[in-house]
Amino acid sequence: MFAQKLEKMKKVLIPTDFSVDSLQLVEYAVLNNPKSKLHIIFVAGFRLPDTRWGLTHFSQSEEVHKQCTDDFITAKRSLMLEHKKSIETISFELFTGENSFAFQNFLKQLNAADTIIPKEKSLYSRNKKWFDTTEFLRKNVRNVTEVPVGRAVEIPQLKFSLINLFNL
Amino acid sequence: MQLRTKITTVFIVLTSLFLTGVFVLIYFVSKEYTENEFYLRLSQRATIAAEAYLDADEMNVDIYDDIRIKHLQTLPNEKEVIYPVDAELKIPLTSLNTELPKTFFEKIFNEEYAELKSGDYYYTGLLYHDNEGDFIVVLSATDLYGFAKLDNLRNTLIIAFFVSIVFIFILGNYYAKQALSPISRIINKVNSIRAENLSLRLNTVDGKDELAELSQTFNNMLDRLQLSFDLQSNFINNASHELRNPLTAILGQTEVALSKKRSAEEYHSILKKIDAEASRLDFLVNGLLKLAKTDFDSKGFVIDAIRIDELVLDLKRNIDVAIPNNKIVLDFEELPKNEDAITLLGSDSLLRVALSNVFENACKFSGNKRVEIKIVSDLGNILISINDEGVGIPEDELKNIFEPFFRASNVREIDGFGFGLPLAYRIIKMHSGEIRVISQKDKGTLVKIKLPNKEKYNSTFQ
Repeated sequence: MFAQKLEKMKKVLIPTDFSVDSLQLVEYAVLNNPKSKLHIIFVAGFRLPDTRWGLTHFSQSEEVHKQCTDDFITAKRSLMLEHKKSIETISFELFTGENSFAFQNFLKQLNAADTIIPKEKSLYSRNKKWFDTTEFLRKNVRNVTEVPVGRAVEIPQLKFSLINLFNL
Repeated sequence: MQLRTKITTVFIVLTSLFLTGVFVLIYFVSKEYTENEFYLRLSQRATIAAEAYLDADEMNVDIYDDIRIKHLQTLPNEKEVIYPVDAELKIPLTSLNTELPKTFFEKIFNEEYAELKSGDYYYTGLLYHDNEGDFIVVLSATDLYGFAKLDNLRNTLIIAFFVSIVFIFILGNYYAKQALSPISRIINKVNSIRAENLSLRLNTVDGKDELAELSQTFNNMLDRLQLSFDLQSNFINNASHELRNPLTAILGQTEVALSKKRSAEEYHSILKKIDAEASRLDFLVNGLLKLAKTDFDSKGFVIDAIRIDELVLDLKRNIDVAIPNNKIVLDFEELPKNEDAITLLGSDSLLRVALSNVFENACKFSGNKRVEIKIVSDLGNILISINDEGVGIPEDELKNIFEPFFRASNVREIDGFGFGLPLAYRIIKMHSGEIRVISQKDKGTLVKIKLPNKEKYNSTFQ
């Protein structure tokens, strides 16, 4: 019975930009795993600070806390409440590496084989230290499920170049 | 005035003002520097003159004059005048030059040095103390080289100004034309779009400038317009088709009945079929009426206090009668004890229609597999989630599910008209709620309904 219960538990990795829209991925995770108890792990890319002071004082939980807006926390709370039977926990992990090798090591630590990712690029954060982990998840996780995620706010394109000034 | 001319004019005016300011500054700073430099030379010449004439008794004048003439260049129109004065009493011992102002000499007495410019002439005066007494040495000259330099600088700046303006005009005009050419292209393209060729789109370029956004906005608007046009024509097609089917059946049956004399049983059977088709027609027309009513009469419904759990239980009982083999599972475990938190204010009849449509859809499109209905209350909202394990909705069709008569491509063989969900959507919207559908083909569908509860309704709307 205990073994059966363990079998039903599943860790699902979900890329996040700490926006309410990105929580739709959790709903797809519930939809795709109706018979499992889910451990949702939100994965966000995060560039480590450049300074020694920043590195020694870097705290994952503090950074995650800074990123979570009130709306995000409220929506996450509602989601947990609505899917209490399906979702066991929701946790956050920051990936601070830069390449797939680092990401594979990161995955080993998490010991997860499933991921739900958006089909099209839909994650975006104003925080310059944040980066999208969708591609890392797509390439390195065993079971990838791609789902359509709608976004209420359009993703701004922040690339600026001097050449564009003359490129009319 | 054309926008291009406006931009060019404003550009030229601003640049001209800026250039004028810079050039005037350059000219006056140069003039100031040249004058100061000339006064310095004048004062040096005045000292030399005083020493040459007044210290003549103490040195070899011939050698001194020789050096002065050979190595120290005389200034243009240089004139030296030496006046014996009494420095203590501040009075001249001979008559001073009356052409020069008195203040000039007063300043020499007070500060031992003074400068003056009169016409083209520069004057410097200095008080010289000698063993023979006190003297005022006034030296005057014209700065011909300085004037020439300044004239040259002024002319160069004026020419540079006009050349710059011409270049700025040409470049500004060209750049404004280039910058505004996409607008002309957009205008021409948009003008060519009619109802018949709504599929035409503006060319969009990569980038995030305002014009790219404008093109994208136009394209998005055209997408919406095309979708509305398509849906409208589909609506009429679908409605006509759905209304015609039972009518054709009725007409066919009556034709069969009237074609020859038939037995009572046969008439009975035909009438039964006509009755079934007429009932279908009645259901369809009622549905259309409800849809129209929610469109035009959103404020005229009676508001009741409805306990959502009771409403859902009641609907479950109705569904149990209509679809006996349904597998609806209700989950009220998370319901709060506070009654107001699970009570909402709205139209009982409309909400019944909305929720029963969603519940019936969940049963219908999942082949009566397990359907879980859960109600929770959180932060002033009642959240109802309906989760089925049915056929799901294809991803590209998700955006159309709230349009009347739209039917997903994978459920065409299942009976239905396609206005259950649109009706539910409008009713939920009328109650200031939200309805979202998360679905994946062959995985299932999760419908989420959020409605404000009585507490929130009272605090928001009263």
